[in-house]
Amino acid sequence: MELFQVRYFLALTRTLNFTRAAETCHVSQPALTRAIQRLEEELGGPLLYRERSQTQLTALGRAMAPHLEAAYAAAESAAAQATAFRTRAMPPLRLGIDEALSPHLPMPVLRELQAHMKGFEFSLAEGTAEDLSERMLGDTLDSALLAQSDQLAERLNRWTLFEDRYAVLCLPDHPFARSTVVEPAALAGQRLLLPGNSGSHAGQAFDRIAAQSGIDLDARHTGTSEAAVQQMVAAGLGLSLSAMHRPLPAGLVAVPIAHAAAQFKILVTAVAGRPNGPGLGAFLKLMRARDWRGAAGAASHVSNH
Amino acid sequence: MSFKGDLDKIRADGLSDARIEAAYRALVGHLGRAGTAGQALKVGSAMPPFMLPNAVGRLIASDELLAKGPLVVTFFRGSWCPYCQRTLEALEEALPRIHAAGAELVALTPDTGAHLSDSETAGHLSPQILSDVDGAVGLQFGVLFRAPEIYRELLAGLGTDLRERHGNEGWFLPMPASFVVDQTGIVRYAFVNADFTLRADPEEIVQVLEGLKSERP
Repeated sequence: MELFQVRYFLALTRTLNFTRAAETCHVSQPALTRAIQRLEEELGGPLLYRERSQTQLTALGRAMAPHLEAAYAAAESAAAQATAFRTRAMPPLRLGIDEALSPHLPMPVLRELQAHMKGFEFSLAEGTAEDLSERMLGDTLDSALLAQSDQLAERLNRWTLFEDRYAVLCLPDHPFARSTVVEPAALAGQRLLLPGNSGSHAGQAFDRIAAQSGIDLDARHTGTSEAAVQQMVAAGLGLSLSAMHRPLPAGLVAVPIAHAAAQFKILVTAVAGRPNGPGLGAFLKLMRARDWRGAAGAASHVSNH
Repeated sequence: MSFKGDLDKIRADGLSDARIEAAYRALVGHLGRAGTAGQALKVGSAMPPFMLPNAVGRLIASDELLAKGPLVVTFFRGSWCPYCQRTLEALEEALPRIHAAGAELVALTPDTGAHLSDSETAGHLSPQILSDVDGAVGLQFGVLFRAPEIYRELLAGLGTDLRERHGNEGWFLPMPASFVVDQTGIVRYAFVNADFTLRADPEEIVQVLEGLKSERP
């Protein structure tokens, strides 16, 4: 399949008119028709059908349109990236990161972009998944790293980077520190200190673990940051919960929780159908091409009970 | 055994399975009828510039590589494909001679994430392996096609989920293809075949590069 065939097809999906599609592509109508026929042969069936004066997409045409659109957009942005990077300044890359995630995650990718892009600028906003999603849809953010949740807006494209797991954060002299995993039942009777408020990602995970394993948990939302909660654990005020991908604070131990509800995916997201500028295009490619094995430590080897 | 002999053996083993044989015939026949291979970049045309991440997280730009010398651009389907594995091994073996001819090598696959280096050979070549995310460069080179249904079913049955590997639902694959591009960005050698069991012999690629070297003053 060739780039121009895809371009003609995408023009047809927008105009649903061979004459107008040929005009927007600056080709003759027979040339456009031939290109579409070639594409149809390759994709294994008609993409469009004509009914009286109307042109409509077939089921195959409708099914293929988003995939061809994505491949075409990627090709266009790849060509733009290769030439634009060293020649002109680009608008700042506006990124967001879920407060449930550690902000170090995109750093190697940002460093790589900075090494290649002239005058590279970025911003990194921290917030809840809901807040960051709204900002992406409102076009004040280009992309966000989010912890998987059920309420992710449909209009967001999402790619799984890796699977992570919540772990219990404790002092090295705590009995948990001697085991490789913590069974949910062992959490009963322990004082658990959670960052943020009851709607937090960690809080929801804890609620699910408690509900699904039928245990009563003494969990308190401290309303404070992750860093503050870690200091509380270090001071012996209780235990906390931390995702395995987070850098471990000095003097504390993280022991993964052996329960399916402790597991979650880490996603990179961007609004579907919005053109990727060269900066965003390269950011998404680097994030998706990256080998994230090991990012969650030993979390992937834990089996659930 | 020779490169060609090894590919023949993989082919004989693979096609002894009736399901694989049927899917193979359907795929190659389909691409042949559609003339897909004829649409790829040809000798004498200019290579579209690209910038892609490699398997160790660096961004690799074609113009930076061309500044050093000629460039070998090869497309492969992924580490799940035994023909691709054998070809990568042969390219790894030929790499010192490719470098000696003043050239660089990049091997592009639509795979993403950990799949880029999930085999030993791919691990050795990881600086050269680029993730052609969403098939952007494959489409520009005219080597991309959509796997027909029978082939998608075969792969799914063998546990190869291209949607998961590629991070998209397109089921697009490159025809295995190899290009030698001179320092001015012009294609000087092109091997494209709809039959994925046939590959450019790295020996031949090295010869083309040595020929290019002798052209230079």
